[in-house]
Amino acid sequence: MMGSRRGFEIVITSDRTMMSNHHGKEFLGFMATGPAIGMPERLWMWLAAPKPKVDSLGRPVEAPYGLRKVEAVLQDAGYNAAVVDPDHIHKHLDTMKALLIGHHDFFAYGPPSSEWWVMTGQEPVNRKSFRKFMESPAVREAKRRGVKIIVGGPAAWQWLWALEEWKRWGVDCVVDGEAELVITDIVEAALNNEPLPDYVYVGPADTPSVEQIPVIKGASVNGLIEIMRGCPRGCKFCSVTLRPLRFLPIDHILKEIEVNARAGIKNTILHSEDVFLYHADGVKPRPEPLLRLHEAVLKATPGTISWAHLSLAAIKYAEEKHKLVTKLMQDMIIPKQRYIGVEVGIETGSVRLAKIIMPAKSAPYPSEKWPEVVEDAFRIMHENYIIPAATIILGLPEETPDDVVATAELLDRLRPYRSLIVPMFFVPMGALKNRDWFKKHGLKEEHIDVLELCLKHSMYWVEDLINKFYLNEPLLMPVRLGIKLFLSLVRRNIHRIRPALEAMIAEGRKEAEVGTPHAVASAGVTCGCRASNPHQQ
Amino acid sequence: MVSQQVLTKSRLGIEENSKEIVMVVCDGVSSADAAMLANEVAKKTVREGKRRALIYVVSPLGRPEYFEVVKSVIQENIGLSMSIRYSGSKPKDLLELISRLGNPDVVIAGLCGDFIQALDNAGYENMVFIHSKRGGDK
Repeated sequence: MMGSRRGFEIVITSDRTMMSNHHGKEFLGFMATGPAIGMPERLWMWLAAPKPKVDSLGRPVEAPYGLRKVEAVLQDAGYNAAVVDPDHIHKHLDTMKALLIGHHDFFAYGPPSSEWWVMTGQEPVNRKSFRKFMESPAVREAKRRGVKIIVGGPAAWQWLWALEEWKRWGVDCVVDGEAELVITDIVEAALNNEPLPDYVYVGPADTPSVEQIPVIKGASVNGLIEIMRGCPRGCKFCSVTLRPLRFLPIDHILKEIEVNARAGIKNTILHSEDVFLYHADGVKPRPEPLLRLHEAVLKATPGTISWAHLSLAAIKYAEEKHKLVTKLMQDMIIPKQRYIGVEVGIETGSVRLAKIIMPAKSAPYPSEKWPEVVEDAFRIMHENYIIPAATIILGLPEETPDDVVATAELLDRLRPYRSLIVPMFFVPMGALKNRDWFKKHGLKEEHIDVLELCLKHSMYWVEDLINKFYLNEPLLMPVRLGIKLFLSLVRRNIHRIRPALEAMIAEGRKEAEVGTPHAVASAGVTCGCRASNPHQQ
Repeated sequence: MVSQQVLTKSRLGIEENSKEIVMVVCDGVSSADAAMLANEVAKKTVREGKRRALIYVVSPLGRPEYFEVVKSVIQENIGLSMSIRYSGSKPKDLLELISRLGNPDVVIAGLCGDFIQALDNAGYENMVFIHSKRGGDK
């Protein structure tokens, strides 16, 4: 690698909450989206985001997938660039000319960070960690020496609500969207000390084709690799649907698994907005490409596999039409591992609201059947040891109290199925990015019912999951103890949550009466769209 | 000192074959005005069959504070690629910019009396006002 002995000209990094493998348990990464509860922050951070192993130049063994893609593009173009752990960027101060910082949630304005922030009144640790990084001596010294700071990733949009920090930290350019085709130009301009644009938004015309997406050069956190980009469902709250749909070939996928395996990463997370739509017929899953994909991935993966996201309609269709879930799980996956984890989106139990904001989410079934689709898919997952972390969105534009009641009724029916259900407040993204945030004074009694139902559902099942499936490795016993400590604290205080939220409603009413300027930037906010794993693009 | 971001050497690839628009943004822009600003960018870009917009912003609000207004252009946009460059805070910066770009479309939003006056004095006509009073307002 060019110049690697001296240091890198282009350093790609993030803060600690992103640059971690979360003890090899991706779901623990979600702890980094909340504040430390019931334990010292240092312990919370250790549970959520332990430091990764690094080499003498500070390059981590595993790094967030999006950063790895940017690294690959720049290295392929001949630049002296590398992903470096945030604690080690000082090693490159003498050579660094551009500092590229990616993040899933820079300021904790995204889901679910903003929700924990609203509900606890405390800043989430990811926000604090990012601020600590930006104000670290190494970053300040880099800026003093004229290093260009370029930020991007899925949370690029948040800088539009953080102008004070943008100015204070001297950010030179924000890149919003898929970066493959624009980042070399921007870096070249930075290296030549040419003026950079303040903001670059990458529209569909400038997204890369499959052939233009490079293979990562270094391992990704917990073996996450993408199998496709984009999603055809067009849900209005989701930014992914704005991107064209592309499928990565199996050869490309296997090359990335090899990169991970060479670095000692045994597991693979298949990333897609809907894994079952890999080479699908529109929104109808096809058995042949999915079976071929899994056969190849399972063969190449030394450890276990998991799926980033599935849609509930695809699960129901795949099983009822082709018995595909049974084939994948019973014949291929279960012989190798005990269960598979995945994120799914319920979002609402209301047919009326589903028709407005996500008319194709239930396809090929009609929106009228959405609650039935959800329930059937949960049953199929339960029977096949697929453990979902599901999301609900509260405060969607045009939501009425009846819609929230419909969601609560659906949650009641999901109680028998092994799962975690995470409620989130609406964050303006996707085709709804011009709409207003869900604010504290929008919280209603019906929302509290849903929040309480979700908490009780998840607390009921999390015990089962930890006892039977999760964190059973001997090396993870201290982590298991920490999580159990946290859960017992939640259980002891569960009766206090409703009164606290009711007090929040009363407070919100008062604030609404007197007006609350800068609601988004102050902690009294917000919001949520579908949660994404911290390392997904 | 205000740093300007007009390219001196080469453009970024994402700025090639783009619709160039100069945006003058001052105080007093309502959220409805900001939405109209976004609409104006989309309209001008699509009308020329382009899928990219290169937006030069001249604003006394400062950098990056001008995004208080201009963020609506990004929020309302779905289909276009955009590059947004800050190009100064004063009427003379605006005049230099339009001279360098050669008769670009200028969109003015807010209480930009000094800028409008400067354009009027220069006999410049290729401009659109979004709730901006022509001449003299401050």
